[in-house]
Amino acid sequence: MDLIAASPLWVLARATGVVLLVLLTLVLSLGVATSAGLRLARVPRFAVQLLHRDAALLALALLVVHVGTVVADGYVDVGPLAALVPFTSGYAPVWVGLGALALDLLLALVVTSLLRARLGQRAWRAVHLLAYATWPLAVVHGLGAGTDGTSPWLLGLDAACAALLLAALGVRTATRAARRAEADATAPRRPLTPAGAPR
Amino acid sequence: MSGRRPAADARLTVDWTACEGRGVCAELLPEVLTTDPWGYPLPAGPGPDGTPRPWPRRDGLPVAPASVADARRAVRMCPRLALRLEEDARRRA
Ligand code: HEM
Ligand code: SF4
Repeated sequence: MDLIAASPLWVLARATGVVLLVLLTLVLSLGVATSAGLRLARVPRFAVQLLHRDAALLALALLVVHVGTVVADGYVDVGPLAALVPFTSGYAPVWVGLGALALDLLLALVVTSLLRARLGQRAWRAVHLLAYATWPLAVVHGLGAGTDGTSPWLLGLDAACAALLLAALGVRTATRAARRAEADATAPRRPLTPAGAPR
Repeated sequence: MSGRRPAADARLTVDWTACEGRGVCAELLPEVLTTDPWGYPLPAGPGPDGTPRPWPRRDGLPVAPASVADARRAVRMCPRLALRLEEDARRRA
């Protein structure tokens, strides 16, 4: 496949796509770490949360480049509208549409998060849980729409990203269970039988 | 006079039903807050008898002017939006 000679824009679109896969995985993993109240080595919790936010902002910026290069390149028929409105693309409408959906969700996640204090925790959180849909949408989009979608190295990277995310979720579950167990162990107990009652 | 109440009167309150004891606030406000063993915020520094001071539930915890900027940041960053900083000019009865 010799698209490299064909267009530097196309190469950039593919490269940003691959970086986005990794970055989005990091954003979600850091989000999971934040919600678990995890410190990463010496990094305090508030810093993990800031990393999560900054990685999300970076991902959005990179997504603009990713989509911009695909549209500007003109090698495939994806108009500016098709990048935003799911399933309206001339080229690979389903695969590109999944990417457009992921973009819309990412945009919604970032905007609602920047307005979190005004929205209130409940509404913000309802939107924020859509993050878990964003990742599979983006991954499947990459499998189907990309030049390298099913090449072994990219499948390997997909698997590594999935493993990282699952590990983050696993650590969060374990942390919560440990915390609950500790709270149970240290909670003051009322005797089950009144003091002095016959056994 | 309308102007803002001097920041010396800023007070921090916690919505205890929302707080999950993540301890982000204590990381950002070490001069004002510490945590109990479960991560829930407590006023920093021991009380007169050397034991941890209880949270002043009714009035909120006073925040010194030098810490107000950090306190605003803690309010913004609390993962549960459980913190509030009252800085307005209203006097409590
Ligand atoms: C400006 C951007 C963002 C900010 C400020 C932000 C902030 C936060 C905060 C404060 C939490 C912790 C919630 C809790 O402790 O209950 C969180 C969790 C999370 N975030 Fe974000 N976030 C942003 C963007 C994103 C994006 C773009 C994604 C993914 C596409 C994402 C994925 C997640 C995930 C998966 C969690 C864990 C949710 C859970 O299961 O409780 N975030 N985020
Ligand atoms: S940061 Fe928020 S949730 Fe965490 S301990 Fe402080 S008030 Fe509670």
